[in-house]
Amino acid sequence: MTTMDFLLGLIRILLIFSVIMGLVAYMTLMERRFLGFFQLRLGPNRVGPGGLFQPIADGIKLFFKEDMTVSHANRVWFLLAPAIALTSVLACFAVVPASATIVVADMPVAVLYLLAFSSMGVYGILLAGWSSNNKYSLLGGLRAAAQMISYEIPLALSIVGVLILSGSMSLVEIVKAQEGLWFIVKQPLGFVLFLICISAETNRTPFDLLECENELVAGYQTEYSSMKFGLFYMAEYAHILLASCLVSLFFLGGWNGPLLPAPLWLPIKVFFVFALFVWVRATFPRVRYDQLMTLSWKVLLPLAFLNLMATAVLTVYLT
Amino acid sequence: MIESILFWGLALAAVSSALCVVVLRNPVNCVMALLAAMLATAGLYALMGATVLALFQIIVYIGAVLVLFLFVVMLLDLKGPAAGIPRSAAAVAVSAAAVGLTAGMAWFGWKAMNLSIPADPGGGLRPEAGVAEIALELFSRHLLVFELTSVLLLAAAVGAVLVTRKEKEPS
Repeated sequence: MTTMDFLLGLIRILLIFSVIMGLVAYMTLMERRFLGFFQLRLGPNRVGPGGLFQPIADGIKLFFKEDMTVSHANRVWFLLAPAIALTSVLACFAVVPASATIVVADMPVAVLYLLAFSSMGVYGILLAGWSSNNKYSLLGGLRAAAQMISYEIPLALSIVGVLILSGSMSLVEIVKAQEGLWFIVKQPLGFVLFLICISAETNRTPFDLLECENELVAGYQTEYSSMKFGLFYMAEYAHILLASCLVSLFFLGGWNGPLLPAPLWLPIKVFFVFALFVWVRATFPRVRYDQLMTLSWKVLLPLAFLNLMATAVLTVYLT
Repeated sequence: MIESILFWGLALAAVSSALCVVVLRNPVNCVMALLAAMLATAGLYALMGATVLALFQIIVYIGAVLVLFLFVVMLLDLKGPAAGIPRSAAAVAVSAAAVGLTAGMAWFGWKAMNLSIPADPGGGLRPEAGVAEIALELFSRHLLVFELTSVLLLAAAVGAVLVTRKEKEPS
């Protein structure tokens, strides 16, 4: 690796990082406007034209809030937890391609990399809950850990069908394998499983038991304020962005599509998947904790195995 | 140049965090130090070119094992010294079973070694081996050990359920 490659890599990382952060800021606005639409109200529309400057106002507000630490908190982990939560998600974007050429690193084992780093986000939530010295926070953190571990297994298994069909673990290769026919057609069950599991992984309604406000105040983030709280929110929205990108790349053909140029297709698909996530949030009530666990272990996991076996057997027979 | 800086940084991090696991008093800090050690080791593997091994190190140890460590440590809220070894008939039986199982695995391993496996082409896998090469090796030459390990894990899971199960379910 020459110094020039190193510098170019850094520039690419910085560019993609700033694009992601901008998207994350505006996803909060999109979500609030969509929720307003679903609930027959306006949503934030006062700051700037159509509410366009709302995320900037929110950011300024977060920075100027008083940064409090509860007196018996474990200071080191209380400070590090939001950083761990955000970095683990941002690290995943290194392998997410925006098109065949726009990618920080096209690894041959990108899917493994995604599984490895997205599984680290749970530490931020667990440590935040524990270090807050608050029983509601701790319960929220423990719930999050149990939930994320349980849903990681059917999540990983539901991607294996895609891996068998494309014969590669590189995201660029997986998208190239979908030229002509998207994997949602060949893997309808895998698509549904992946969608359910990833929305549980991002801790969104109906799976947001870790911040279930009628039981746990605000769960693991109860004691957080100011920009530390903001970091958790950025992590959550970055995770949703990652989830939308992955759904589009694994099942919806990535940047493949008719008429429009390739770099336009992925943003369009990501937008619609994100709108679907908001729609789900606006529609479904929160599930109970035992229902959540039953769903993962007794429904999703057997279905994921079934999907995997059927895909493997059919692939062997058809080739 | 960059490689050697990375190597020394990662090596230093691995050794110092491994020391912290033993030295630190708060169990949560110990678990997180172990996490740092695992992460640094994974970085060293990646530096060698063994990307798949590095990622499996993270998925298995950091993504699964250490989360459960942290989970248990937080739930227990350890204050005093650890309890002594329980001496009951069940403990003796479990220990005997564990010893027997290990011995059985060792015996099978020894038998597998003596089986006529086709000669190893280049002294094991290269560090840069991809997923496909590792999978082929795992499911052909090391199939027996692989299956035995999975049986052992299943036994451990069943044992864990049995040990934690309450006799009378509160309604």
